[in-house]
Amino acid sequence: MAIDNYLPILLFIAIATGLACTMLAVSWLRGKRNPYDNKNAPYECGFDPVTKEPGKFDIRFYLVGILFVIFDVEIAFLFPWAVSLGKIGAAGFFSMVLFLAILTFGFIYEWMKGALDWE
Amino acid sequence: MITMLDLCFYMFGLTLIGSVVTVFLARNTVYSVFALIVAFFNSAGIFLLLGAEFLAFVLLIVYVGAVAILFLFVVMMIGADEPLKKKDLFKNVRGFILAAGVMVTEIIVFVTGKFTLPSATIMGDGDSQISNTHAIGEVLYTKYFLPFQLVGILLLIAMIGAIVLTLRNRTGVKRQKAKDQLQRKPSDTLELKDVPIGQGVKTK
Repeated sequence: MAIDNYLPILLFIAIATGLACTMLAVSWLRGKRNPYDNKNAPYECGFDPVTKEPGKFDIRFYLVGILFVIFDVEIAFLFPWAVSLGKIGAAGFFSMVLFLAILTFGFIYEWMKGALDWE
Repeated sequence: MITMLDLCFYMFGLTLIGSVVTVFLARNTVYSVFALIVAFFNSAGIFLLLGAEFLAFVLLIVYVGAVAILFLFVVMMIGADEPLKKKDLFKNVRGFILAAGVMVTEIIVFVTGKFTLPSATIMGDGDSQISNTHAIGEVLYTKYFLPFQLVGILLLIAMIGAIVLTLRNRTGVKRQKAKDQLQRKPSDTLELKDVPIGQGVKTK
C-alpha cells in the first residue's frame, strides 16, 4: 500500500494535537490562576489524606497482563496468515494449526491451574 | 528539496528523541510510561515511512496495547512513593554515557558500511505490487516453519513461567466450583425428619 493512503491519519493526528495544544494554551493564557496550598491539596471529604498513593497492586494484575501480552502476540501472527492463506495452501494452514495447538495447550494449563480465577 | 516524507520523518524523529529523553528525565514514573507510549507511536510512524506497515501496526498493538500497560502495572505495583530527586536521577550517569557511547559507535560503524553482517541485508526488493503483510505471510508459515513454531513454544514457556512465578493459591479462599455446584444432590445436604408433636428433633 502506498504511503499516500496514510495522509488522512497524519492529518487527523495533526488536527488532534493542534486542537489539544490550542485548548491547553488558551486556558493557560486566558484563565485566572491563583493557587494556594489548600487549593492544591487533594480533596478527601473531611479527612486529612491518609495515604499518599493508591494502595499497592496485587500481583494478579501482572499475571493477567502477561497472559494478555502473550495472546496479543499470537493474534499478531494471525493477520499475515489470514491475508495470504490462499497462497500458502495446506502447509501454511496446518503450520498455524500446530502453532495454535501449542498455545491452546498453554491456555488449558493456565485454566486448570486457576490462573484465570479471581479470588 | 525537502519533501513531505522528509518532513514527517524529522517530525517523528524529533518527537521520538524528545519523548525518550522525557522517559528518563520525568520525576514521576507514570509520566515516564506515558512518554514511552508517545515514543512507541513515533517509532510506528517511522516504520510506516520505511514501508514496514505490518511492523508499525504490530508495534502499536503489542507495545502500546499490552507492554505499556504492563509497565504501568509495574510502576503501580512498586508504588512511586515520592518523586525522584535530581541527585538520584544522575546517579548512574556513567552507565548512561557508556550505553550511549556503545550505541553511537554501533551506528557509526554500520552507517559507514565498513562492517556489515551477512544476514543484516535488507530483504525487501522494493516490489510494490505486494503488500508488506502479504510478503510476511507468504514466507513465515512455510519457509520459516521451524522459527515460527519455536515462537509458539517460546510463548508457551512465557505463559507457564508467568503462572509458576506469580500464581499462589491462598488458603481459606472460597472459589466457585461450577462442577461441584451442579452435581450437588438434595441428599448430600438435606435430611428430612419426621417430627412428632411436642417432642422436637433429637440432635446427635
